[in-house]
Amino acid sequence: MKLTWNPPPIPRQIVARYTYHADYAAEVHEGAYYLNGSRGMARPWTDVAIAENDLPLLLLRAYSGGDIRAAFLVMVFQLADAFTEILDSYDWGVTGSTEKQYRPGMPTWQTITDSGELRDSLEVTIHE
Amino acid sequence: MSEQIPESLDLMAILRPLLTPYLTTFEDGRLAIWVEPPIAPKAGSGLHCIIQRHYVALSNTAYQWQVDLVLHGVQADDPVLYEANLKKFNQAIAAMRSKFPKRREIRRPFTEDLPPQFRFLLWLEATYLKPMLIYS
Repeated sequence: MKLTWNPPPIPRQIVARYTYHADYAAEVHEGAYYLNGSRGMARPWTDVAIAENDLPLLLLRAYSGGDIRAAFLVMVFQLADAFTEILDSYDWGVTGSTEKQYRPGMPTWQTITDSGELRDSLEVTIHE
Repeated sequence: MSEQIPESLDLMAILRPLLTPYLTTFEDGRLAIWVEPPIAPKAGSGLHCIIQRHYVALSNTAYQWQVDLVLHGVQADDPVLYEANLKKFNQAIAAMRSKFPKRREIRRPFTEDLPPQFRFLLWLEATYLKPMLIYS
């Protein structure tokens, strides 16, 4: 990545960790193979959110010449909102599991079906 | 100088000899290693390897391939067979780790719904594929 601005010195390392505590979070995000032979397709909502958002630009917009830490935190929670938005409304355009997957005309999973448990299980922790 | 993106046949050329000692066969008798799409044949009993393109276009994590090792059809009520298959599963994971130092691993818990499964996300270095690459 090429920086087009001179960032201020960052006083110490700061890390944001996003954790989804719902039991089935990994199955939805990564897909899964089941004992009965069926298959759950991967719907990696965090990857999509990261790909669709320009994180350096978000940081730059949040940084007004003052506090880089505060700008980082703004960016972190904007990304969390982006995760939720993708979870709620992204059209995956993928077909169902097993043989239906590659058959044209079969119903598609338009969005992740979620009671809210997965979305609401997100915990953002800041380590510094 | 630009390199071609490694094709699935290149990856198969690496994985087939690496994993053959540990793999079973699909129900139709073919060795249980498969590049999707099209979707893999019906699983047999034992270790299977399913290869797919990863979501490179969507992701900043530039891994190109996902390789799933899945232990299908092996029940814990036959302890001898179960242990033998788990051993092959572990050996296959070790072989993959040894062959691909640059990788991401995704592990899932073994539950009553999910058989043992292990995913490698691979970014293949040119050194693995040099004899097969075309340079321009």
